[in-house]
Amino acid sequence: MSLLTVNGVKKVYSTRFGGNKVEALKNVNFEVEEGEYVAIMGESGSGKTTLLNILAALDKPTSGVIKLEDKDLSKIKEAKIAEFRRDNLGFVFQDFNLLDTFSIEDNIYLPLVLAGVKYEEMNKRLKPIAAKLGILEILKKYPYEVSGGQKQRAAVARALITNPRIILADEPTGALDSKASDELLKLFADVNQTGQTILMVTHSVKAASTAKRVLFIKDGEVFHQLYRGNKTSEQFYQDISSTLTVVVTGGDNK
Amino acid sequence: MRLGFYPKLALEGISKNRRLYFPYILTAIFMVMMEYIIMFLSVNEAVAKMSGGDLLSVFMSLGKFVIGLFALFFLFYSNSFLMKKRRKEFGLFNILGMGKRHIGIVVMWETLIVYLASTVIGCLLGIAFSKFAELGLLRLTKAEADLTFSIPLNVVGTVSVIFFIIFVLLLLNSLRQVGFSSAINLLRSENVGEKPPKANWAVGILGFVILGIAYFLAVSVSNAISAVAYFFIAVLLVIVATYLIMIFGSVVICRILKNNKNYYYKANHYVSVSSMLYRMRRNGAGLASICILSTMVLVMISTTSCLFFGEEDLLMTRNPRQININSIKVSCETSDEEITDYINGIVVEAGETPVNPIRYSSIDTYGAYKNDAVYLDPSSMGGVGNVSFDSVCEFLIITVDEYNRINNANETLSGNDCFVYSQDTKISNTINFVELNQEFKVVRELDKEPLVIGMLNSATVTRPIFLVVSNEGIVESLCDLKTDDGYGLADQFYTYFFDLAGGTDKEVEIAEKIAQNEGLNDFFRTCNIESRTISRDDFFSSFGGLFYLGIVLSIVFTLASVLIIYYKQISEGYEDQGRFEIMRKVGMTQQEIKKGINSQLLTVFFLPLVGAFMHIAFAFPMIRKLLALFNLKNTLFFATTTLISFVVFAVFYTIVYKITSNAYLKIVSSKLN
Repeated sequence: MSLLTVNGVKKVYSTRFGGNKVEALKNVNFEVEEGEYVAIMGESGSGKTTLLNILAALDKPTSGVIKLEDKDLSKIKEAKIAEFRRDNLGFVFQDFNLLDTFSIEDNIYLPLVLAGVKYEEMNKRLKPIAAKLGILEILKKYPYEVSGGQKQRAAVARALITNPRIILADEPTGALDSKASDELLKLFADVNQTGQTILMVTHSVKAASTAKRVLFIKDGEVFHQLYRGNKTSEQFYQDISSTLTVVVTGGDNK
Repeated sequence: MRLGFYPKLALEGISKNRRLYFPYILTAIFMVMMEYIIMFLSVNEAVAKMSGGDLLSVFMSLGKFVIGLFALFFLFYSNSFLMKKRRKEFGLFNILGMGKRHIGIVVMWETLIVYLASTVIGCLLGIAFSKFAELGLLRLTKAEADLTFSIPLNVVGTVSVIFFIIFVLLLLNSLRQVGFSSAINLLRSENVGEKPPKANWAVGILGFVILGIAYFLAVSVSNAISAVAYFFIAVLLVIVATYLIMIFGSVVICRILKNNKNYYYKANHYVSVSSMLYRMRRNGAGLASICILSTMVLVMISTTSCLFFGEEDLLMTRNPRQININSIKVSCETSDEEITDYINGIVVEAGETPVNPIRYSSIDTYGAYKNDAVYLDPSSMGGVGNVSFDSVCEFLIITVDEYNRINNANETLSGNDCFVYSQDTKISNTINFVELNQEFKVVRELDKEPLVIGMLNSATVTRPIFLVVSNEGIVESLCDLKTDDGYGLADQFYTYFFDLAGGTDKEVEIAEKIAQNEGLNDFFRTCNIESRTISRDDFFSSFGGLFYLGIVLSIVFTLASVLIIYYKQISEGYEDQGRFEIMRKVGMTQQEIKKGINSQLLTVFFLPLVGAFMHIAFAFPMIRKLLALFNLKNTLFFATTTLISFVVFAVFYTIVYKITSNAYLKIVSSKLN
């Protein structure tokens, strides 16, 4: 059974007075297996972020079903949704979303504190993650004191510390320089090696080429997908790149 | 095109930032209005004409000064707040190619528009309300009102000039801020990462120490004179301590909480402690100001209302009868009956009859009371400089004959025996009058004042001690006591209070007749005659005037607190917007967020109120002593007015809290849904 099932998801936005209707997602179907590392690619306006918001239960689809294992997201009560998100999902955002009033350490603890975990337990969990992410030295510092790459690694640590079923990453390299991007992507690959499921939305070919599978979204539909198989990152990069050209120039070879 | 461009830009700037500008302009309008009204009253003829009008004019001039000064500080506060928010806009103008000079012109136009709007509207409102204000004042002071309406143009002029100066200063300050920063600085000024405040232990603890000292001073003050002397020191210390505690002490406390890991890492403490840490540094000064302003309002309202509503009480203490005479006799030998007959003669001649008389003669003297010994002559203590004020007591001494006559008693005393009454001085078994070479033996402590002191004691700042002594020449020897320079050490007072059979009709006339009677000079060295009716008028004009001023200043200060609160909420709302959005994404439920917001708002909001309550509670003993100077000694009454003032203020404060926290919630939740 798949970890995440997305079936016939549709999202229609209407303007405030109901006049214009914009179809952000038309009909999205895909599945994610346990331990997969999936990248979702598409142009600006293709519906990537809308999809991610719906997966994160931050937004509701107009129709369609999203299941995490056998749990239907739309059946979860409004009051329980935050708790569900906290317990099952980890988030990494483009702009980090670290709180400037907390030290890096406290930022990482945030979801656990909300879940009511004891300090000793949190501290025990933090140590190996921080070591793996190379942020042990900056734990006591504040977000404004560290670099973008370090901030993003702290955000990854925050996502990992709850042992989520799946990590949702929204353009995680979007605000990083190329060196920090490479480091972060390597980190994602490593984390995935340990069995962590990752779903990443990006429009960076480089980022997508580290994933095991790439989904292409166009006009609110999954247009195409590529498996990495045994390809190297460079070969996979070429494949994604040429597929993207087809997607952008509008070939309809499916 | 060029002519209208800058004013248009300025107007647009104001209307776009109306959430910030609106309260600012409202404050300015309000300040102008208050200033106009107070100035109007200070030159008003009806006010000047009433009895005690001079005093009222002085009060009003004081009020006008306070409001003017306050308007300056306060408009500066709100303006700096405004400028902080506007900088980004100016930075954008700058990048789009507007020079600093041009931005300066926009700022100038904005200031001009705000000045004109507030002065015109403020003066119009002031004119509209001036008659109400006048009637209110006349009513409080129980003076006659007429129905003329006037608009003193010189007042309008003065107010305009005062506020023109204030706004020029504001403009200079704004221009300074624009001039000193580069375009990028202006653009980014709003989102600079901020260091978490370090706990400044020394300063934080110093705040608590200073507060402790101030409280100790207030509680330990033993008499009215030291209360006057220490009052301003205590006020100053409390103000300093409040600022130190709110700004630094609060950070120290948050740090302590944060270091307690089991407390800190709990969902409901986690967010609030860490954001309080930031909040207090930024808003500590604002909270301290609110606390101080609230305290001032409470002190002003509770004391002035206490005096105003306690007026009749005070009057009856000071003037127990309609006509009240208190005088120092030329010689101790003059018989009291002779004097009384003479005065009664004057009254009868005027066609009235004295009734309900209280009459007695007493020795009234001051001395240093120390180790059972009383020194009447400062030189015997080594000069006035060596006498500590705390040791000075007032001695009221009567013979046992007078005591028996006044109190319908039948006591006997002989030799050195005496009765003593004292409210709060500990009396030993013997009292040695050094200059008299006589040691009195206390045979009984009386349980109430042996005589009605009235105006004799009207502003007693020292502790009175009553002595009832035997008839055996003690009073006479006291009368004969002289310093080396020949001044009498103990005066004999003649006190005579009486009502008139015909009521108040002729009261004022008779009081004047007695006061003008030359024949009394044969009996009295000095003579003080008070009519209760005249005293009442004086009381009303002074206490009513004070109460009125108390109300006006309270309104001004309260408005200031409200505005500080409003600005604080708005600015925090903008700050917290993003923060709560992140927390929601990370998995905080809507309810948890709301709960967090509420508990935070409550803590920050009611901190100043709690502070004000503590200040008032500790100031209470000191203010009580000060009120004793006005002869107001009814502690329960003062406690009641204080409590009522506090409750009314707290209710009002809570209403303001509700309204402003709605503004905050609106801002915070605008991004949450």
